[in-house]
Amino acid sequence: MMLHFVVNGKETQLEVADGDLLLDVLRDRLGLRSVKRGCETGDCGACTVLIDGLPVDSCIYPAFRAEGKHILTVEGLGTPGNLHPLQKNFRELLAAQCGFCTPGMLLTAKALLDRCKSPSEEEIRQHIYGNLCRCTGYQKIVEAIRKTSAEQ
Amino acid sequence: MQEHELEYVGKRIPRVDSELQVTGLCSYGEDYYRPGMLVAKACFSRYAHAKILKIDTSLAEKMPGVRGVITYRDVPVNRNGCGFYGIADQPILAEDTVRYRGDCIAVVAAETREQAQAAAAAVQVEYLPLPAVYDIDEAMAPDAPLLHEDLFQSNIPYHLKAYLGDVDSDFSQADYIIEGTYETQKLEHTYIEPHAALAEIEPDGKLVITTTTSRVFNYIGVLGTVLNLPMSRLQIKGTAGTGGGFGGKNEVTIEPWVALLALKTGRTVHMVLTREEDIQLSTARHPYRIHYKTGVCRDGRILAQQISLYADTGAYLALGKSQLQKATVHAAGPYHIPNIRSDGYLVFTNSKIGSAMRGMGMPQACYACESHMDFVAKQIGMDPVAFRRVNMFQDAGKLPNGQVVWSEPLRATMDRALELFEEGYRKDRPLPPHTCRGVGMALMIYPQDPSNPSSSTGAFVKVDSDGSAVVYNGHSDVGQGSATILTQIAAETLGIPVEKIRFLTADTVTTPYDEGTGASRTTYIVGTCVKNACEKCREILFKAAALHFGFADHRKFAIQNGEIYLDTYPDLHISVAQAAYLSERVYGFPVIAADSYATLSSAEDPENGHCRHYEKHAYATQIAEVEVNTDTGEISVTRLAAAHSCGRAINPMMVEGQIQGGIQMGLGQALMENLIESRDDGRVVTNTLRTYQIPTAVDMPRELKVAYVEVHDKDGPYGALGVGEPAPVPTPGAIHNAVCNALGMQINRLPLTPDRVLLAMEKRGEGGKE
Repeated sequence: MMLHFVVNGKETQLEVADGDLLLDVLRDRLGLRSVKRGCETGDCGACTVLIDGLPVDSCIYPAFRAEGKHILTVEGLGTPGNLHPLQKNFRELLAAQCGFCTPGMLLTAKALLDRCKSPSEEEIRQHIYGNLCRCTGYQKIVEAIRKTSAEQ
Repeated sequence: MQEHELEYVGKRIPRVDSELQVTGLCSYGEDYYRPGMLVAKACFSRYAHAKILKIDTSLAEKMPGVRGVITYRDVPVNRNGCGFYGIADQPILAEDTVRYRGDCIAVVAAETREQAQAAAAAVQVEYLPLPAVYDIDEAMAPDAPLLHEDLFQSNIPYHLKAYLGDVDSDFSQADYIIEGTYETQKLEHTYIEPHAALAEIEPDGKLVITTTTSRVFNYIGVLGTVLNLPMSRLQIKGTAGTGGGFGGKNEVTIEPWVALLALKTGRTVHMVLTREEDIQLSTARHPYRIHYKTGVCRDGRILAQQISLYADTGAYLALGKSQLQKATVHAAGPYHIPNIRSDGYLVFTNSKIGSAMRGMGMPQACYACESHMDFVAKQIGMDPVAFRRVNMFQDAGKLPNGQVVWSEPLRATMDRALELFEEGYRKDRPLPPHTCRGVGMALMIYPQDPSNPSSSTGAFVKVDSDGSAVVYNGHSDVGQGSATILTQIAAETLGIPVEKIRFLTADTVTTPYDEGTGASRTTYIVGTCVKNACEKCREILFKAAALHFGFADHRKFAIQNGEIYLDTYPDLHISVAQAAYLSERVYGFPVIAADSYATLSSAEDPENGHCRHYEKHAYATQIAEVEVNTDTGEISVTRLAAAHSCGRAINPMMVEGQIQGGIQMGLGQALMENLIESRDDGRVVTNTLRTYQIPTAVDMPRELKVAYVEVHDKDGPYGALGVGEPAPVPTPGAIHNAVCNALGMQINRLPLTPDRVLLAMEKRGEGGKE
């Protein structure tokens, strides 16, 4: 079937099969390599993208369900030299070590800050619960999100 | 050089690759995509232990899209042995026997992932199942089936010793003799990126493998042997980004398979493991059972200690011996004990291979040692902190391998952790209903940089004519940030800003040898080497400056703020860029230098295990507060203070990040992580990230305070030593002690899951111990 959706602000259409997953369509068909494959069971959050502003594990999301929706990946968040405030603070506060969970973590954080201007530490922790990081202990991630929220 | 003069060392500089990371442009294993490449899938053993009677790939070969299938028949030298110690016990592809479920029978390359998967499932194998052993007791039973009859007479390939003094005579002098047994579970590294590798053949026939690895030079050694190719025909490159390693990307796994398939098909071959495959195939942290018998005086002095350690290494050796050595030598902790008899045994079982994992045997040994210290203190009626103060190393200490170690930072970590733990803490915090609270401490000694028999590295440095520099060294930055730390060291030494330095790593053709990332050796060993090579370049720059100003003696020059100047004539200065230009283009000596650095171990005495194995030691103290819900058995770590020695913090932000991340890993070991393998068929049961749980942001303590203690090391670059590897080591002991303190009982087994806590409480109700 033909899938019509908006990816990082760009009208996009392509042919997808029933069983195609959004992760594979974004990574392999559209070349959006920031969307990471960590578990393929919806447990680690590395493949998180925003669908109409909400964080979704694209590894278990059927591509056809994205019909008519707006998808945001980190490629659409900011670029080198033009970083989104979250990207800037993740960078400056070492919220990324190996960086593999970072694109998903950034998008989850963006979804939170879009809906809640100044979340408490507890709200941040609950919100990023579905994004696993093995390097940082989450402390600097929470700090980077708090700093971004304070700067808004 | 005075501390205030440092420009780049000691600064909170963002990672050199951070802009790529946050924009999603950093390339990880799966991102190495080539048009028209083939995709590989493996066929794994269906048994934990079996003879292979027949392998038939004819059906798989005829499946749609299949371009090549390999079995042991395609492997020129079908031995691996992980390339470290020369005992090649592990086949690249199983030939006549499978010893665990991760043994691979055949690998298929096809046009698509689905086609490869279907063909891998169509490989037909006839097995003759053999009895399997799943734990150390079964493996050590007199009638146990042997896993490696051809290499070892029993399932215990190694018995390591570390003996000091005379244990027997001193037990008789002790007022109390106290015994305890402590057990740990098998753990998964759980890097978020699974293994991935790409094999390409260049037009001239050279084979290039790009892979997620911590050790490219170990890989090329193994691959050269296995493929029977000279290293000049091979190149191993680390991926630009690697999504964590923690020791789990130390041994070759999928690389020989993609290489063989590329050679067989003449095509580029890519392989990315699924999480399920990765958990089954990759290595794990060894489960341990550690027994202590401690003779102690009424005043708290420990006179003698007998320790036996059993580590389950799974089906193959990998780095089992190296981690057991660390545990055996350091299981008595950083304590003055005149008589120690420590025996470590490595045990084969038909299960997932144990190898390096952050801390290498030390999270297990430290947990056991520190839990036993608390238990002994309780038995003799002493405060656990006071008991530690009586016995702990002061400025130096002697390990049971006879090595005398510098231990000055230990006390400072203890004092700092105690201070941090109380900082801003309100003592009147109400306790939630049905909850008890407890506090526990753990001290740590951690051996860095094992030399087996050496730990060596090399570096090239060049300064270009505009004052930019490139540093080449073969270690891998798998996320820990070493490239940034080493860039800061180079920047400081050369007087060149961080932004003008490129650091090239992990490539067997373009970068000089390095043993690889592990054992917190990089900052010290590679850092020293890079600093020395940069000093040689600086010398060349000074010579150019001397020629420029017509001074005979270039040694009078110094670098500050990118300017080369003379102490005596501050007005005479020349920029690094100008000096580099002059030396390269005018005076005819381009600014290039190489250096190497190594540590060496002494020969080991087989009688008592005496040897100088470890060049440097790190120290730490962690203190945890927990709340245990006595209805549900759930444990929450509410406060944790950690103070770690680091020599000097080259980048304080990154030191903190390492400690925070380490605590997360240690908390997982203490409370939740448990790799479970079926006792029916050896399959990993916890093969998803839902069933194998690692700590989330919610599980971490809200009051997590970390500090680094700077006592500059006499040899380390700018006084620095490593900090990353030991970070998780003291956490399980501190948390276990806090839980035991809260409940007023011993549990002595990890992880402290709610069901285990409830069971222990129930048994205590019946007057027993778990």
